[in-house]
Amino acid sequence: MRANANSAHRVSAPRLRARVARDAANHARRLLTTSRARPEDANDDADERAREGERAMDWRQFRARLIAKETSNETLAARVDAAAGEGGVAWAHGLVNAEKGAILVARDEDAASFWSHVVILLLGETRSTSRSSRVFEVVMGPRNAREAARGDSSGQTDDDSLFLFAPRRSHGVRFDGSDHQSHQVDHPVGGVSGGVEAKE
Amino acid sequence: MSRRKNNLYWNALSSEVVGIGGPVGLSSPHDRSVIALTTKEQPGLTDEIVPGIHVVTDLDSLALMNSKFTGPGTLAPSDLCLFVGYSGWAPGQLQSEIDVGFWNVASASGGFIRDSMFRNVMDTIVDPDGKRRPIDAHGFRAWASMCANLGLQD
Repeated sequence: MRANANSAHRVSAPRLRARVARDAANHARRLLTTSRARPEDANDDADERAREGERAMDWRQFRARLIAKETSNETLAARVDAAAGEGGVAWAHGLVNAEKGAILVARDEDAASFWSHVVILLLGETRSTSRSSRVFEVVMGPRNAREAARGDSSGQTDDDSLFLFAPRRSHGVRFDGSDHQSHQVDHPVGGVSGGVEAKE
Repeated sequence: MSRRKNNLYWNALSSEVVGIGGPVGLSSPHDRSVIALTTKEQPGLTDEIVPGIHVVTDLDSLALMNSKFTGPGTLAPSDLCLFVGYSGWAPGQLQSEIDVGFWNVASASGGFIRDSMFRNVMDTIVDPDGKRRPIDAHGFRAWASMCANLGLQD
C-alpha cells in the first residue's frame, strides 16, 4: 500500500489537483440536489434515507476515485470501492490544501518541538468576530495530557503517563466558548486542575 | 453546587483516557476545553466530520441526557475519544505553514482515521497494579502509522 499511496501523494501538478477537486465538488452538488428533489422525501423515513444517500455519495470518495484513476493507483481505487460497498475500509491519499476532515501529519521530527510527531484532524472552521476571517478548530491526536499540562514538550513523563479526567468537586467543560461559570476540578493524576461549565 | 456533581455519565467519563487536543484552552487552570469525538452518531448531539467520524456538539447535554437514558442509540462514555485543549490558526496561517512544508495534508476515510489515529491514541494496557497506561503515550506510533500508510516515509 505504501508504494501506491506514495505515488498518489507525489502527484505534483496543481492544476490537476484543482480540476479533480472542482469536478468532485460539482458532482457531489449535482447528486445531492437530485436526492433532495425526490418526491418520497416527504415520507416518515425520508431523513434517514437522505442521510444514507449523502453517505453513499460522499464526495470525498468520489475525489479519491478520481485521484486513484489519474495516478493509476489501483490499491487506492480498490480500497475506495470496498469502502463504498461495505464501509469502514481504510483509504487515504495526499491533498494540497486543508479542508474539514483532512489530516495534518507533522513533518517536523525535532523531539524538542511541541509539534513534533503530531497528527491533527481538522474538525472544521469557525468564523471569528472579524469579518471574512476564518479560524480552523482542530484536534490533535497523540499527546500526553500530563506532559502538556506541565508545559513540558520534551516528551518525558515521570510516572503514569496517563491523565485521568477525574473531577472531584464538579464537572463541566467548555466546548463552544460561550459564557460559562468556572469551577475547580481536581485530578488525581497530574498537575492539571480546572474545568468550565458551558451552561448553567 | 453543580447539578453535574453526581452525574453518572460524568463520573464514568472521569475514568476515561484523554488525549491532548492542542495547546489552546489549557493555560488557565479553571478554563479548559474538551472535545469529544466518536465513531457513532447520536442525532441532535453530534455533527459529522467525515463519514464515520463525529464530534459531540454539546458534551454537557449529552452527559445529562445519557445519564438517564441508555440504549443502542446512545453514546456510552467508552464510545468517546476525549481531547483536552485544541489547536487553531489565524486566517491564512495554516495554509502558509502547509506551503512552506511544515505539514503533510491528507484526505482519509473514517476507518483510516479510526484505525491510525484514535486506536493508537486511546488504547491502554492495565498494569499488574490495576492502573491503565496508554500504549503509545507520546503518540509516536500514531504518527508513524499515519506516515507509513500515506507513504510519507521510507
